[in-house]
Amino acid sequence: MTATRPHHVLRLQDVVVARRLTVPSLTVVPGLTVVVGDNGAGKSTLLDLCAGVSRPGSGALFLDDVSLLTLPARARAQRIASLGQRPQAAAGLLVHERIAQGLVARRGHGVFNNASNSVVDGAGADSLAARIEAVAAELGIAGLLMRPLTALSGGQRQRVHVARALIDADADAIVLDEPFAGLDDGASGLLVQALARRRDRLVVVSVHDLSLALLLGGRLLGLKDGAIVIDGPLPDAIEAADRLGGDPVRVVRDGEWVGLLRRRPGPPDLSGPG
Amino acid sequence: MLCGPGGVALPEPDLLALRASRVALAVVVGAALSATGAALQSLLRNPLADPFVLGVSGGAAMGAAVSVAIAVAVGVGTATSVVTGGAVVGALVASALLVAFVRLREGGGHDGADNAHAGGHAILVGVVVNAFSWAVVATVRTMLPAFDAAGLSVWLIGSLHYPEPSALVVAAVATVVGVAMLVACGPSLGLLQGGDDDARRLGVDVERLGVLVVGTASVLTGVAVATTGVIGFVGLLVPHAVRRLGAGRHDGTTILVSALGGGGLLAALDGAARGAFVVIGSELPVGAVCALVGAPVLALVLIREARGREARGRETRGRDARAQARP
Repeated sequence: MTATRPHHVLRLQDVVVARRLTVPSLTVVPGLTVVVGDNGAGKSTLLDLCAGVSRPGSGALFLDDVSLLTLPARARAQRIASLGQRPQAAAGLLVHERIAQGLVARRGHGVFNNASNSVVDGAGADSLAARIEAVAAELGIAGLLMRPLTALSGGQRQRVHVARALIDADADAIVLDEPFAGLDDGASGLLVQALARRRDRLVVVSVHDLSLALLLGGRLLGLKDGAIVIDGPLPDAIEAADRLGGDPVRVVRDGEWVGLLRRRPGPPDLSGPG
Repeated sequence: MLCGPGGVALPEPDLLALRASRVALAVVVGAALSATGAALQSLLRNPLADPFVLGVSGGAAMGAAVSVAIAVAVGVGTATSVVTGGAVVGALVASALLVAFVRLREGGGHDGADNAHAGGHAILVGVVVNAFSWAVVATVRTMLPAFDAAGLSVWLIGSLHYPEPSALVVAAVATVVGVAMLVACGPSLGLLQGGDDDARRLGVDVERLGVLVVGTASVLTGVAVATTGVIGFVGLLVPHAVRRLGAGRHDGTTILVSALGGGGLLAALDGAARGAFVVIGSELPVGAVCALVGAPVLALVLIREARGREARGRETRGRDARAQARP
């Protein structure tokens, strides 16, 4: 990746989504920003706002100095690559077609240099097929490119959706809502590496598991009841993660941060009274 | 030699031109209805969408009948423009109702996963609108003087006729423009197949696309219904056949090929309707022929799809079970 990448900033000001989220002020800068929080804490609401696909009840959203609320859909999509929760895809779509959407449909044909029929962007010039293969290899799905999406398992499908959001080397911002959902350990490891390779870019990721947040590093945003209660660099901020919920967290340390356990409530008492 | 009253020789009509105009009308109306069906199927992500099934044609018929009633009551003539305007307004009202209902079912449209039942409910809206519009047409027909009422039955079951050249030109121009607009919406409609949220992430202005497609579909349906009355099933069967034959990899292509195929099919069916003269001594309305052919074919399609879904379900369950059995 080149060092001359422009510095993009995502800003939320006085944002209120009724009964879901209140953010007085938030500035997201290049680097990995990891959003954690319990179910219903407002993670998806925050990420949909960052991706520009939903509108707050009140407040302002800016990418650099452009308001996301007035930006036309096409221009917005060209600047922000995102993955939603529970993504769907048309029946009959092949894996490579789905991944290509992240460049061709999102960016329009402007992304192609017509003379060489190649993709020209910040990562250089390359054929579309090579781009698809590269991102598929990063996520371990290079062998599935010619398969129909509907023939894949849930975890494989999720990796295809993630690949679509990661393929564009020029997106100003990448916003991924629960990209680890349904992934097995191997796939999660590949995705952690893929995100690490993009840590000079503006990337917002939500995860449901604090141990994944720890593996990713970067900046931690902790949400609770629709408010940001933790904001700091990982892994230090993890100490504060106790504030997130009723379950205390315990960091497993072995010279390095290797993982983190969330102490679960004890098993339900099945004996009952009497 | 044709003879008028009193044995006066009438000028020989140009039978070839008349028949050509009727075939042209069949092509135009078949194209309009089929393109509309294909576009609505993509927009609503519902393979059963069709201007007739969803009540858009019914709304157009109601609008046409009401505009005739008003024109008669006010004392102006029931010109083509009055009928067409009424039909387009009726189609717009019916489809606005439909879209409002589908949006309501989707609860804001952000959650594409829960839309499975919205399709069935959209068709219920169609049933309601169709029943109401038939009642309105029947009521208007009873209230009007016999002379004005005679023409209204065309809005209960459509039939082709030998059109006025001006009406044919208007319908043809509206259809060409409308079909072109729907074809231009094809790439966006294709992206919509992954759900509203997914399409938004790819840069589709979902709300604008909906207004554009529904508006165009209403105008096309209104013009078709005003010219020939309600003709069902063409808009359902043709896109189905196009997708099945593999010509529908892309939504724009599906719409275009459906338009061409629909024009051809309706012309052929109208030929059959006229051929019925030989057998039963009277011409059938083409709307009846479409329903006689279309309803059984649709039933077959539904049965086959249900069987296919069941088989796919078994396959998926088997694969999940194997995946879980793996260590």
